[in-house]
Amino acid sequence: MRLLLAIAFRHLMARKRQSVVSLAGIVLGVAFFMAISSLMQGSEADFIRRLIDNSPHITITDEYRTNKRQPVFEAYPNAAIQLRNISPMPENRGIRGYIQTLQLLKTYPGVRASPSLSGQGILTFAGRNIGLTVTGMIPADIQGVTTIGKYMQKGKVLDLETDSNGILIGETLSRKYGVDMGDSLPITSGTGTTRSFKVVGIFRTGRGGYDERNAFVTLPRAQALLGQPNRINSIIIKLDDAYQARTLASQIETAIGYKAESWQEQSEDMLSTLVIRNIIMYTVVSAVLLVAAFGIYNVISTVVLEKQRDIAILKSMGFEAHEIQTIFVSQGVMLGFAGAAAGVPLGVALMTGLMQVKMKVPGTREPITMPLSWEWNIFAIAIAFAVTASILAALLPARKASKIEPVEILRGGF
Amino acid sequence: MVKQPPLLRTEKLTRTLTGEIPITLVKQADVAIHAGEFVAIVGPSGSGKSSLLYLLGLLDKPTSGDLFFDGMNMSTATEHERARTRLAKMGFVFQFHFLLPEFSALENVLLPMQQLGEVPFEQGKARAIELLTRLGLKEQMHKRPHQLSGGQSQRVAIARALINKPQMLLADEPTGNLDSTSGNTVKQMFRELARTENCALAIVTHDDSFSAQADRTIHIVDGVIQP
Repeated sequence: MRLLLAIAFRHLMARKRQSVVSLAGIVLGVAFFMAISSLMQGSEADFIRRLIDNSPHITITDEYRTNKRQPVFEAYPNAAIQLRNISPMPENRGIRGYIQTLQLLKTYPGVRASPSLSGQGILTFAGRNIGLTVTGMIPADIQGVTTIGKYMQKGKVLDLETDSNGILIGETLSRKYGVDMGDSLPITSGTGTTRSFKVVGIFRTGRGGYDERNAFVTLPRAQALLGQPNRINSIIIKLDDAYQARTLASQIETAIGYKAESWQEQSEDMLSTLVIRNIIMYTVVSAVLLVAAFGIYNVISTVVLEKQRDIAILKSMGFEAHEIQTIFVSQGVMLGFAGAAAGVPLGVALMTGLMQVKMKVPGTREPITMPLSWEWNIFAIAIAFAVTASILAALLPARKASKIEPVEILRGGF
Repeated sequence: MVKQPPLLRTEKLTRTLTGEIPITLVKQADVAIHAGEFVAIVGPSGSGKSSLLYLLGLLDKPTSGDLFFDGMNMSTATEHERARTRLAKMGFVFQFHFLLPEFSALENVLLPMQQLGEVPFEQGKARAIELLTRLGLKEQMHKRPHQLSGGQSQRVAIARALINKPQMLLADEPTGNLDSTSGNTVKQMFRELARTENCALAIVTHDDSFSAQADRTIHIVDGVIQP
């Protein structure tokens, strides 16, 4: 084997310029593959992290996934029954027996749940009527299931406990209408009830619409405002392991009947977009390495063509077809590994360079850096792809070389 | 005295190129070559001399007939067995030296020895240097083929053919591409080496003075060995 490798190496060294050019293709392919994969994986991980951090992992709402069947169909499952023009029984919206549901949720390990009641209200301020989504919650619980605490610019979420009449408003609303801490805000619900709230905190999530149209109060105050005493319409759940959400949501839904939606289900369209984006990215980056592989094919094909006489003499000496094939496949392996060995440091340099880039994205105050992933699989895939592509590129000319009949070449002389 | 069986023996060896019009290169050839024997294969151009040599050297496969080498029927041998026999028991010299240009003279000579892998490298290297010295190439052993003259290159090719101590050396017009001085040196070396290495020689040649030195001459015309 050492002899075969020595012959392979000498062949490549004899064509330094061609070998270096084809090597450069692999080096650049590996480096760009790594940089782009790292950027894509990094941005995907960043996106999912934000999604997991900022959204509930499971949301239970006062809805059913499918309409309840009419009792008559249950009673006579095989009968020919037709009901027309039926409408559901009027029912106050809200999750029934939510206290029991919360107790049930506490039995699941790694689950933190917080009840809430959301509804629409109108804030009358400075002669204007401003539509708001008012969410009532338990301050101590909501801190564990949302990131609202992180976004507080003034005051704290727990200030709602000390002042039960308090309200948290968004920074956009505060800025737009000049509302500040301690101001009194009258809010009217759809039922006509009006309650006055005192601003005890201002939050800023960075999403303008959210920061203008949302407000948080304590659960009892929301129930009073919205005329739904002892009711909630959603339970927000955070999990220690966010990736268990889909399984657990299905279990909860089976247990309580209400719709329990995991973050994956809520963001399914976004996640499928990520998959498509990854396919496009890997296709484009792989194309770079494929082009590089054609370079290797070209070099080894040329070597095989030029070396027909040498191949014939090696065969006449007693080298077998598979050994001749090994010589030329080894050249592909050498170029692949050398390309990967030089491409990885260049890729790391590119990735490090990208990490230094700071951009000011519209809608954000602070410049952001590119989210890059340094997962080992990026390096492994780049190296494996480069070596595999190089071997495949070498295989075809190598097979051709192994089939050379020495007699045909030796008869031809030069 | 018990007569030794021939080293190489063929029975009705035939090689036909298939095609629209089949061409018979060698027809019903019966050849026997003993160990240490020098046989010259002569005949007009296109008579099938080289084709017969390639068949005897296991480089080509006969269409029909049998070839026995060192007691083994090579007509039914596998590709691996044929390759191993060529490597271990035969040596080849062609009209053109066919040295590998990326390797020095010494490295070229060492190639078959390394491929055979039966002799420790240092021992094989010592033999290669000894062979090159005997062939007058001691000063040239580290040179690449493009730095050698035609005669020197051909002598390197002879050393390469002899490195594994073959039982038979096959040469296809080894002096055909050399000037008369170099050609005479090479002819003399073949003769001397055949004697000292006790190896059978089968040489295709147009050179009457070379064939005159042979123990026996095989005349071939139109692929048929002449009686």
